[in-house]
Amino acid sequence: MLANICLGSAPIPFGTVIDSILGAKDSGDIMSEIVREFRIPRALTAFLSGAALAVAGLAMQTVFRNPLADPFVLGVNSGASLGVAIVLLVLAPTGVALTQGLHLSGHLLVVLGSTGGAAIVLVLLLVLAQRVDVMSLLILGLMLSYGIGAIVSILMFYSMAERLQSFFSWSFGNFSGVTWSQLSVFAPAILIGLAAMAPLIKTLDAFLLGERYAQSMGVRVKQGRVAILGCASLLAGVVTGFCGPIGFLGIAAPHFCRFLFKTSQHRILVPGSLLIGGFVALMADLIAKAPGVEATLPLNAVTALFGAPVIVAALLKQRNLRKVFGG
Amino acid sequence: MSEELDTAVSLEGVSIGYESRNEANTVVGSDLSLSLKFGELVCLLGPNGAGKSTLIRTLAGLDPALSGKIKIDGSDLETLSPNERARKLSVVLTDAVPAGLFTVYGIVSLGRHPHTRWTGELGEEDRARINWAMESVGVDSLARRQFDELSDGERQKVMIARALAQEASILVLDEPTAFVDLPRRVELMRILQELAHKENMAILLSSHDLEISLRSADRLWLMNDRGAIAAGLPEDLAIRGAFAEVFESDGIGWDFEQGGFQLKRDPDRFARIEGEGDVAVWTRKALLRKGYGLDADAEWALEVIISNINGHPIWRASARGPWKTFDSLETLFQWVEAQEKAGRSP
Repeated sequence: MLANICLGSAPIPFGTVIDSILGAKDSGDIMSEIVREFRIPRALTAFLSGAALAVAGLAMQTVFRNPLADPFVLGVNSGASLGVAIVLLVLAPTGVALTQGLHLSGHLLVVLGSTGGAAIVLVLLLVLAQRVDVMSLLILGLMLSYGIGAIVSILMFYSMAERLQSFFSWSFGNFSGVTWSQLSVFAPAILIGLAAMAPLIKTLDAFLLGERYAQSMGVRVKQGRVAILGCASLLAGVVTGFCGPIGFLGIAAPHFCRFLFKTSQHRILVPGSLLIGGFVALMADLIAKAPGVEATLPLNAVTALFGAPVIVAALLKQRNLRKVFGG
Repeated sequence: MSEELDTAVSLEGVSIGYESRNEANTVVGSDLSLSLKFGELVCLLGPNGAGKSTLIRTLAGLDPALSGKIKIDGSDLETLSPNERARKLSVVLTDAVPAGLFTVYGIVSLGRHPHTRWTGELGEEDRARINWAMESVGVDSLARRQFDELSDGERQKVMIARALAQEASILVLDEPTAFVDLPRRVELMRILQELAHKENMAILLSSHDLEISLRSADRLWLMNDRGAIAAGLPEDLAIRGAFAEVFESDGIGWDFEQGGFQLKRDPDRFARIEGEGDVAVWTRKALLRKGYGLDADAEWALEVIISNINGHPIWRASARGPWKTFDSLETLFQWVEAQEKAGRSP
């Protein structure tokens, strides 16, 4: 994490970073201001996002008993993207938020749009989750994603190039947009989501044997399912709301964790994924910032490009996927 | 023990089947009144599709009964909380368990779910029960092995151990002997029988393995394809002809004396057999399988005399012609078939 704070377009000496963290406020130079106002919130955001996505991904994989499930299987990210598309492509051109406004309060509007979109999808799917079985739910989530994706495509088709640019840059994912004041909402939301997952660890273990066995062991299956999916989607939705859709991490971190600890027990996997997810996100952000280079890379490209080979290698070596999910 | 205390599971006028939101419910079996006692092993037998699994799931509280009353250990199944129910009744299902990356110990310890606190942490008592469960089915030596490395028979034992770790006095198993080879089936049934008798557990299992069920069950629930159930001692049911009624169909007949099923064929030719002992028994089986009738007063086409030279069986046979000697049934039947062919195309 310290490395993440130190390194960036302009490397900052380790000592300066420590000074500014420890509250040497009077130093007042530009470096410690960068550290305090940009680097620290960015690193915190990266860690929390990574942790949230990893835990959400783990929960989804267990509930759906599917190794390819990610935090967004229920479509919260497509809901978020529709919200953002409405803000950037529909509202902004019609003058609700002026070009100038986009720079100042624009990001907040984007956050509101995407969080709102994610929340609507989440509520819709949780209502459905009580009525249908998990497989149908998976398919419904997928269909919903396609449907919303289609609406977004239509919006994009009728939009101006410069609006599209800002929509695209949102869709690449970014940890840098979260300021201290936003962090005061973001961090508690993530922490609440993570804390709410703790009492569900036992239920997650029971779900490993399938819903019928879970039911036979005294688990209230529907309530448990809704609680876990709700928790996971909240985590995924909040991250998407503030940082854009960040792919890959949520699938990969739990697999990497299983590979490391060689267990399926959530008592180990939940805290493990949390730490690994957070760490991987910091690493990805570090690479995206590309120390010493002016340009930054899209975060999504980095997570997939650098993370995928690691996971592929781990899986080929262990064949854990088959072990965990059978088949 | 009084009748009340003795009864583990009772069904009163229960209908089972599938609930449907739009259409009428699909009733698989209706008005079932049955009871399962502590200390007995009961096998639920019936043809495929009769509704055995549905009954098992309904009785275990996993599917709702369409009507009627189910009591487990004296309490109404519907009023029990999921946790209370899990402490009274555990199950072994046919559902695939893709729980890789789990040691045997890990799987069995999942059975402690209804007893542990919210953290799922195992205490002294939990560990003792897990060890007991693994020893009871003989998988204690496998404790550290990965579940997915085990054979089907071992996995099934582990799933039974998991159910035992749940510390419920009623155990319900759906087809536990399917996919398990014959010696392992016998072993599984012996384990279950012992648990019922020594631990005073009430054990119900569904099976379509008639022979083993007949040998090991204390009582049978015999379900026909209309979902009606006849309950009783295996022998009583045999005497009443219940098996024939449930299982008999075109081409398959219930052999009353042998207590098993035979391919039903009306013999078009008959054989006469002379000799005694095991060899005669097996020769008779072979002749029946080849489609010969063995009625003593029929006009026979084949005559077989069994004798013994230096402890080796010898068959002498004649098809209304010269006598030939054989040292195995296989060579005997090869000769018979050659004779028949020659007879058809002279």
